[in-house]
Amino acid sequence: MWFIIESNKRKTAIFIFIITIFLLFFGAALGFSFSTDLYEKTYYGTAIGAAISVVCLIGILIYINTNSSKFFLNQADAVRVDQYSMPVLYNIVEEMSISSALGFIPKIYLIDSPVPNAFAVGVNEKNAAVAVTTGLLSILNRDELQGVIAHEISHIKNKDTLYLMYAGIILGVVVAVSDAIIRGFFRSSRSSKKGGGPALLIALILALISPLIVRILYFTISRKREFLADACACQFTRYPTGLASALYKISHYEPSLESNAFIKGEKLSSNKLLSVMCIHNFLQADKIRKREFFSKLFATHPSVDDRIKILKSMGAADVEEYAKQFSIVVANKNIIPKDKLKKMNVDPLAIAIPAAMAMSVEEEQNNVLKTRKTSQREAKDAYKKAKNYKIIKCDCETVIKLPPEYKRSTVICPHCRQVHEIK
Amino acid sequence: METVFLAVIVALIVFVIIVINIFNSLVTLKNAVKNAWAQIDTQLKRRYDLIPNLIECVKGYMEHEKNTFELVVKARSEAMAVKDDIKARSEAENALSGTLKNLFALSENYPELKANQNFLSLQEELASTENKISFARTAYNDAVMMYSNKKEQFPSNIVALLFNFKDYGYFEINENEKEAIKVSF
Repeated sequence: MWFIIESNKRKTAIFIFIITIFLLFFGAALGFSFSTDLYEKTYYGTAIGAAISVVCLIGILIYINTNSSKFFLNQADAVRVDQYSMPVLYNIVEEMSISSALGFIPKIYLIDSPVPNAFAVGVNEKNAAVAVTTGLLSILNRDELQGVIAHEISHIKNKDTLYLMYAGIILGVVVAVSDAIIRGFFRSSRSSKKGGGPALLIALILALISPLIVRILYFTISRKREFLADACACQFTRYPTGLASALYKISHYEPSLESNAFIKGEKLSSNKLLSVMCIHNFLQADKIRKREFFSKLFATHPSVDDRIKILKSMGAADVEEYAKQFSIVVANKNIIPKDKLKKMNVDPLAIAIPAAMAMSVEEEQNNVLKTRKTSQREAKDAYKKAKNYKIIKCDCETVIKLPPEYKRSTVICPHCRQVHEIK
Repeated sequence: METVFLAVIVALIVFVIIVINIFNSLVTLKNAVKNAWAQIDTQLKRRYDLIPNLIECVKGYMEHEKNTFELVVKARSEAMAVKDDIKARSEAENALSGTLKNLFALSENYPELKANQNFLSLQEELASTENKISFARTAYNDAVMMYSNKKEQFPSNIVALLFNFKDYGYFEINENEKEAIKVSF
């Protein structure tokens, strides 16, 4: 796995280098367009613009390295859970940290949402975290959940999370800056009527197309990393069917009527920064399925059908086999350069999974429907506990859960009308 | 004369740097092996800790299965007695895994036990510990393989011989476990 991490590091460095030059040029052009015609002033304006953009970039990088994990988790309204409230989830995360030789156990967060999804943030012991929704816990069995967690831990292990955070926030800045340049151009051309000469024109053209280019670059790499994370997840779990069936269930999730209205405002799906980081992007899924050219170009995730197809056709459970099936399903492309594949050492104890052992996805679906309700309640209870809900047990065996916002000193049991004091 | 002297010195320095480099990478790989072993060790110890709780929990329900309990307890103490030899240790641990599997298979016959919350959580803990052991084992074997490769390849094998780097054995999987489980009706 080491060469994937190495190449990721290199790509992140190249990406940051390109973006720095981009921003430098933007800052310079912005300073240039705002300063007046005097030669000296133009010169200073350009220099100051460039300096400001560099300072901004450094500020962003420092911010990302210190507390961006918290930012994303807060955006998703996630609460931390421990091994006592969610023992199975904790065990799975620990298993996958061992299997991936991560060296530490990421923190675990729970999001109260019926939409099944998961994402990872951070790269080191301090800031790495895996967040899952209560919906995910309610529809997946242990093997499937293990596949999803392995996928997320691969993102942490391969340092994709760092890249996505850098790229995501910088993309936002590029869009904002190019916006400012376009506005600055119109303002200066209106006031001076002279026009800014060829340099300004180039800056304007760049400002118009650069957000587009950065976006395409960003999403191309982001798609590739989803495939890579799937490949690593197979290596870590040695069970591709688990992830395949999890992806099938997640992508075929159909909200019930009462939760439909809730999903429209649902945080993970509607927030653009977060939806890039999730295991499945619900916003884009339909468009990608139709295979329109432009929606494919701007897609953050590869087609989920392709992902499942690759996983289902795997004969063995390692990165090499994934790469082989990848080149068959997604023709003419190699996810890992061939010369590097040879360097990978394949574990002698890896056991191939016979195709007959894998249960059909539909069969699984039926099995899970029976247990669905109970595990959803469990997950929701853990979420409420983490959110400091007060739990009162009534004599009629009703359990009352009160949100921390509830301020009255008594509560009446809805079943037997008994009055309870709140301590 | 002076240029020859200078060339020899430069060659010596380059040689020493290469040796240091190889030595350091060998040490890094050796530490990775040790760290991976520590991971397995932690999980094995955790399993030792969980077994008495499990026995205590199932005792009341499965009175007729005394033999099975005794086998588990015996296998546990045997595994705990093995010290440094990795081969003997992996054999003892695999035997313990086998007896535990047997116990859980028998527990299927006791519906009251299957409803016991304490038993269910112990079962999850032990199953997860088994998973962790097998994941840690693959990670350990990967580390051993990388270390042995480096140790046997030229020119690092000379450095390894010079500084007496020792061999590490693979944590073997049980021969019976490798075969698919046959189900008969």
